[in-house]
Amino acid sequence: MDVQAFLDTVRHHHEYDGQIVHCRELPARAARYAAPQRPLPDLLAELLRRCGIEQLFEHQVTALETARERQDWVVVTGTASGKTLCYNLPILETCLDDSEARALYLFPTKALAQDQLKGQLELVAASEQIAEKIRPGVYDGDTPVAQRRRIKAEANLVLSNPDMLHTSILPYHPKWHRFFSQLRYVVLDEVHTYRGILGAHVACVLRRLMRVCAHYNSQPVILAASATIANPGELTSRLIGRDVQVIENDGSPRGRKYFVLWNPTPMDKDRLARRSATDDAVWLMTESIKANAQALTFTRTRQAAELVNRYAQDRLRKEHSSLADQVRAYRGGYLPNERRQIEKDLFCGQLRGVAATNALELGVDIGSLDVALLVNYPGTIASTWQQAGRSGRRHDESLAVLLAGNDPVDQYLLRHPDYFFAQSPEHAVVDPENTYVLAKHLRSAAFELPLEAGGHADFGSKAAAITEMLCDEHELTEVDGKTYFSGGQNPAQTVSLRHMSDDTFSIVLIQPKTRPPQDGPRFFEDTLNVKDGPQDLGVTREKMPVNHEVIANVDSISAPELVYPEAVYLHNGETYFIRRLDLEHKVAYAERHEMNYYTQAILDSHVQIMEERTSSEVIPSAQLAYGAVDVSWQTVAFKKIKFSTRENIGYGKVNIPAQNLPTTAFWLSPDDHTRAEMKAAGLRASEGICGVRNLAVEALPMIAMCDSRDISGVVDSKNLGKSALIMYDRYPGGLGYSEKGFHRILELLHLCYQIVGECPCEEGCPSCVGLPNLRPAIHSDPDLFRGYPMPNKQASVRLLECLLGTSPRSLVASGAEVSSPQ
Amino acid sequence: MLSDRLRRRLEALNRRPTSDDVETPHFRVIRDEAESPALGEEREQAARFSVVSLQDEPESLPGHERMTSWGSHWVIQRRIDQLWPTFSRYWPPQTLAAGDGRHADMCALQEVFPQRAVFLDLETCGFAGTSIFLVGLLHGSNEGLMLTQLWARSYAEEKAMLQSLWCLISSQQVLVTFNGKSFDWPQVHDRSTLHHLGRRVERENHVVSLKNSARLKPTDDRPEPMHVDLLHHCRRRWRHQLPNCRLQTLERFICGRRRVGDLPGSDIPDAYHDYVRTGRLDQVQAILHHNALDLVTLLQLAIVFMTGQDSNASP
Repeated sequence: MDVQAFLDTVRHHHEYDGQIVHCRELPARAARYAAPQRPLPDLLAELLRRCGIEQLFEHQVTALETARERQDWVVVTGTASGKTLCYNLPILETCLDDSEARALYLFPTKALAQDQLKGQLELVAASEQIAEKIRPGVYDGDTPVAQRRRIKAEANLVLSNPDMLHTSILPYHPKWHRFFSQLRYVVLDEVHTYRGILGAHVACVLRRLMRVCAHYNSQPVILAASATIANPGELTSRLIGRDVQVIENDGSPRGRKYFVLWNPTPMDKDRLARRSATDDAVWLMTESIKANAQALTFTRTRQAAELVNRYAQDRLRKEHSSLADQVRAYRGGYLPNERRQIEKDLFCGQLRGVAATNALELGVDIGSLDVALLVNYPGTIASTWQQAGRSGRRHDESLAVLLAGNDPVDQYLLRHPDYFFAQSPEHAVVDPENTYVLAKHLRSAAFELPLEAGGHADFGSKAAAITEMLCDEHELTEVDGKTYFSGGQNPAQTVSLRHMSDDTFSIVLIQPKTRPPQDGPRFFEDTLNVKDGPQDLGVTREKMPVNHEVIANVDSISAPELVYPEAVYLHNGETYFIRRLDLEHKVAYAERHEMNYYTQAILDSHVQIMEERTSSEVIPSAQLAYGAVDVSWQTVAFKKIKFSTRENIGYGKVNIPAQNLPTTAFWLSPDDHTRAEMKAAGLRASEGICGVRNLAVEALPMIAMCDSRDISGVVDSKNLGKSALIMYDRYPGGLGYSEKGFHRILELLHLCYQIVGECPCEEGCPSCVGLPNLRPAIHSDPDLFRGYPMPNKQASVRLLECLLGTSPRSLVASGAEVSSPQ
Repeated sequence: MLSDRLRRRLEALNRRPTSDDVETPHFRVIRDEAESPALGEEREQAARFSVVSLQDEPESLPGHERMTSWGSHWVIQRRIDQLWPTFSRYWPPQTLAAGDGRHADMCALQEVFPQRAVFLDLETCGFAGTSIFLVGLLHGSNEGLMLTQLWARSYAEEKAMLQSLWCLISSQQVLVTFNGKSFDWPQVHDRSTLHHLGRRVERENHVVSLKNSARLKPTDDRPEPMHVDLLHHCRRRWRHQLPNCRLQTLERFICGRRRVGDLPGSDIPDAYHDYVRTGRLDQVQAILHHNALDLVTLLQLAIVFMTGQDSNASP
């Protein structure tokens, strides 16, 4: 597309009011080719020629040569740079040479495995000779039982995912003994997704894989591919527990790309309050579609994706455009078939616009799009480039727009475009020694092969202690120095890699016998009535509705935020009324009603300090410690929000039990002297802490290299008897994020101080000290959290100065140095 | 090191009830007078056999230790007449079933029974993929039919036990199991693969002679006798007459016996885990007995088929 022409159209639009703060042109890049030292086998070279590949890019050759030396590697090159070929080249070369050789491909999603299978089948179809030797097969939860035996026995390229390896392949390794004894390569695609909790699990699964391979006398080489992150080598080597070679000499060509930073339409003169980024994204998306471009809008939450989709369709319908039917939403929770269909329609150009969550961030081949719109900063530089990379492939011009929200970091990035473009992407954190995760995988490891004395070393220093604990619990039994599993069934069956809570709720559509009143369902004063059994439906546990249909899934952690009784659930722009949430059977019963509002959960949460593990004197004016906390939260009520206007049109109570999270945290509480000093200046310490918390929720991810959704913070005075800031990891057992905040507290506070110090507002604004008072619901519309009272900016600034013990001027100067956290 | 807090939570997470202190069962074999179908007088005789003798407080396991090149395990042996005194009334029979119309595998069994046939029943730690701790075998020997129970005194003895199994199997021509084609036999192969004991040859009647002391190497072929899975025969024969074709149902209706005080199969894995942890023998006898009873029923069902009584038994 002609991006300049499109931007001109936007600039001349009546809604345009200087929102384009910055436009950077990322120049086109020419290809760099290379040739392998030892030429590819004729058969393979011929195959590549038939696919239109005459020459290899530099990084592809490096990958091939490194694999030939049997050295593990991770390739980190841009979207559409031909990463797939990097790992397929050495594998095809090996398998053509030795038809007994096997390779295992692991993808984070089933969709990616299907995508890869499609590609491989097309590749080998070109030649009968090759089709005989290269036999790919997908082995995942969807593989029909009838085909499983054949794939086990015959396929030499097995495409799967870590979950399947964990539950269904490793535990039954004797059935795969030929496969494991001939395993030459393990591919880890999208390896950057294996961080945080999933990473911890995958690290354990890979250690189990290597144990089983060693048992069958094979030592597969690991070939990993990653999106751009700061530490792909560190991440991969931590995941696999071995050294890796990082390949980043990207030789692929690149079309010109424009990256626009967009500050939404100001709503008043001082330009502090702004229109929602969602509204501007809807406008830009519809304009792009009308300009015959294909556009993808990324939102941070599922509900936001649904809203963008709905508003975009509405807008196009108002203009009587038939394009309205070519816009869709795409997000987690949709059933696989619906997702496959959207991917297909996007690929073939049938769909012109899709509003998606980061579910579409990964490399499913959806073809080459023209425009990527990012509603709010995605939380990490890596995600930003990954999402922006969804527009533009090798030759065409493309456009990416980051529409800033009111979050401090969004506004900070807009004020510092150079900082943004120079910023290196995040470190991916993976902790292969997460206690809970290890405990689960040590059982599986022992089930597969007894743990040898001293053989715990593969699983890190904690493994021996956990093994002992599991023996005490009679899960494992030690006999003559080896530890055996002593249970009746494969322990992996009850362990999901994706969430600590392993359950999924189904959202079931029921057909009501009677329609509720025109203005929506009756509103019950006490929602228990709704839960206990609506008379007008006859839905009871014993008597399921005749025609019920599962329309979507939701993980159990999200369920109380999305599908509480009387919630309005959004699915592909349509509204569903949740009649009942059956916690026991994990089903939410939904009715299809067209509503003029949607709902937002109101959450109540508590944090309790359980144990202080270590404390620090680094801040003389405050108490600082790190330890274990218990976080509990529940949906206590909901708000009804009218579409478009976002008016609050009512409340309702929700009565569902609290959820519980035991995790790690650091806490910071200013001492009495500081409080007195602030009081003397007419400021309240607690308000200052509140402001610092709001800043730190956005600043800690920069230090701890996590997503801001991986952590949270509260201001609490119950625990220490005086107000304290408690920042915790949002994962059971913790993942080291708040621990990093504890160890690098000065850097964290400097960053907070810099953000607030540079904000041009006078009394605090949503861009610095202002943020939601409670933990925002992770699946809701982020636009709705602007209404909370703003903590006092001066109090926040003063508190930071007290904590840091320096004068404002010197802080700003030194702050510049810490603004590029590594 | 782990904090106490995490440790407590981990422990809570992993805690589950164990089945301690299950009352030691008493063994009586009684016949079911009301419900047995017509199998003639054999029914009554079948009921009168003595079972493995049980002491109230067993102090030691009967049997003896057996050394293999992969370590030792335990063996319990008993002649069939010690186990089933009236066996001689059943075999040799006065008439054998006519060859016509019979399944080939049953004919093969008829030819080699009892000298070269082996009946097999496993006790494992649970579902597929778990380890085997008891291999019960009924097989021909110099002293006639013999019950041999290969017993792993801990998980660590599984490999030695399987080595013994292969030596024993190698002198047999026909293998008889109940649901063994789906469960027992693949399980034996999978666990052997895990221990690098030989390799599977996908060919029935693959006779390999292994000496008792021979060490089964990963490259050695495993013997693969002809396999008669009685479940399939029973299903074909009685599917429409019986509520189901589980072994104990057949035992009750076809063999005319019923178990009282038997340790249910589902309790066996936990009983074994307890034994490995504590060394207590009280439930081991019950496990051995359960396994022996299964094998006797298996034998009796095979005799029913071999003597053609199954055709008389139809209601």
